[in-house]
Formats: sequence, structure tokens, C-alpha cells
Amino acid sequence: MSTLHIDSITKSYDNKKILSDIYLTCKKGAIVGLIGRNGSGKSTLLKIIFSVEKCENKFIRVGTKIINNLADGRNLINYLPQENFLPDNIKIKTLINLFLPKENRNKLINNDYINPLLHKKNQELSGGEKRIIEILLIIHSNAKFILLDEPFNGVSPIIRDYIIQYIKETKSSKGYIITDHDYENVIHLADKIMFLKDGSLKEVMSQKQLVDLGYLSQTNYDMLIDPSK
Amino acid sequence: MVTGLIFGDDIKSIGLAFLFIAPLMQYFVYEIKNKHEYYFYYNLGLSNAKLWVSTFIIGIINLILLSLI
Repeated sequence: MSTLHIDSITKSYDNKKILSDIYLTCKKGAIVGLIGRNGSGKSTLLKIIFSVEKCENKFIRVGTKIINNLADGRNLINYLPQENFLPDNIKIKTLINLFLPKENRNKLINNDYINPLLHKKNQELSGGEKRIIEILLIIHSNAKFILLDEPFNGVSPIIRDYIIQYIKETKSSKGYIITDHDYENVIHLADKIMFLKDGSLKEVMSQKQLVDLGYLSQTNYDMLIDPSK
Repeated sequence: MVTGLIFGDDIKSIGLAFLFIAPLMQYFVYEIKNKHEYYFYYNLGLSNAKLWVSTFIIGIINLILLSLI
């Protein structure tokens, strides 16, 4: 169960190929960063891996188990969508008890950010508070592989840095595939960066390659290399 | 009161009303208003089909229990 294999994913909308024969692997303990322009199909790819989006062809395997639907991926693959997904009208403590296995609940209950929110209902929280709860819930779930779709949406820089550090600290026990519209977050977090363009996935070997691929402007690249510029 | 007018006011009718109203509520609350909340259940391994089937089964169990009273 130590590797997530994704192969042969093909998806079209109105006869236009969005994803063409996608191949990707993620090992336990690795963070794969998925970048690409808006509308390139990053979220669609994650949803297909999670088995909530239909496609023409796919092969997904975790270890020796082939994942054909949501039930197959239970406790193996979890997905953080871009939108807040926790149900309203339910207290955070109840959501933690519903979502997490017993042995992991205390990690969230005793967390400095989560503890003051335990007795509040989801709709009483700000977008950033909801997001940190969602991310920590997904990270501490039983799943071996975690798909994070723009996890830093709506969070303040200090929370973003906390989440990045948290993912780095917990990555030894899970594999992550992460996308974000802020490429710097992905570049600094990921062990391997994959670039999605025209339905194909290419591994990015150097940050300079992002300029050649048309993802970064030369100015952005210069600032990335030397922030004092 | 509305359910009483539509389905009658005996206890069996309340169960019958529940069987119809619960799926309607699920449709408006989840399918239309809060579709993204489905991801909470997806992450627990529950698909749309399973959630809909469970809503109907709970409605039928309610109906049977209320019929027995």
C-alpha cells in the first residue's frame, strides 16, 4: 500500500481532450506538486483519482488494490476540495468524532488552533478557520494518500506557513498530491513537481523550465530565485 | 399541519409524509443548496447512491415503526 499508481487517465469535454493518457505515481512519504494554468484540468484530475468524476478511461491502484469507485478508495484516498465541505449546523467536536478514527481525534482536539473552536458550529466560523479544520481532518484521516486541491484558499500567511510545516512533519506516513494557484507554495512544499498543459503531464526538473513551459514570466522567475530583486 | 392536509393526520400518515419529505429535503439541501457538502460523505466512502438509498430505507423503517404503533 505504499504507492499510488495513476495511469491511462483520459477525459474529454465536448470532444475536447482535457486529460490525455495521464500517468502519475506518488509514494508514501512523498509530496507531488501539480501545477498548471487555470482550466488546465488539475481539479478534474484530482476528482478522477478520488473517483467522483467520470472519465473515458482510468487505472488507479494503491499498492495491489485497484480503485474503481469511492468505496474502493475508502481509507486509502481522501480529497480536500477547493470549496468548504464541512456540513453546517454541526459542532466541530462532533464533526471530528464522525470523521476521524478514535486514535487520531485527540491530535485535533488538543491542537491550539482547533481547541477554541470545538464547541462552535461550522457556520459560525470564518473561511480560514473552516479551512484549517478541513485540512487537519483530511491529514489525520485513515487515508494513505491525500489529494489537496488549493488548500491555502482563504487562509492567512501565518496559517499557510503552519499548514506547510504541518504537512512536512506528517508526510512520512502518507503520500500527498497538492495543487495551488500560488505556485510558490507548491514549489516549496513538493518533492516532485508535475506540470499539466494541453492535457499532458510533464515532470518539471528545474524552476527555469517553468518559464520555458509558459507558466512563469521571466520577472516572476527572477523574483523566485532572488526575492530581493 | 401541511403534511396533515396532504397525507392525513393519523400516525401512519406521518410516516408516509416522512418517506416523501426526507428525500425532498435532501434534494433541496444537498443537491441544490450545499452540493459541496457531499465531499464530507465522499471522504467517508459514501457515494451519492448510498446516501439516497439510506434516506429511502430510513423513511421506510420510520413508516413501518409508526404503522406498528
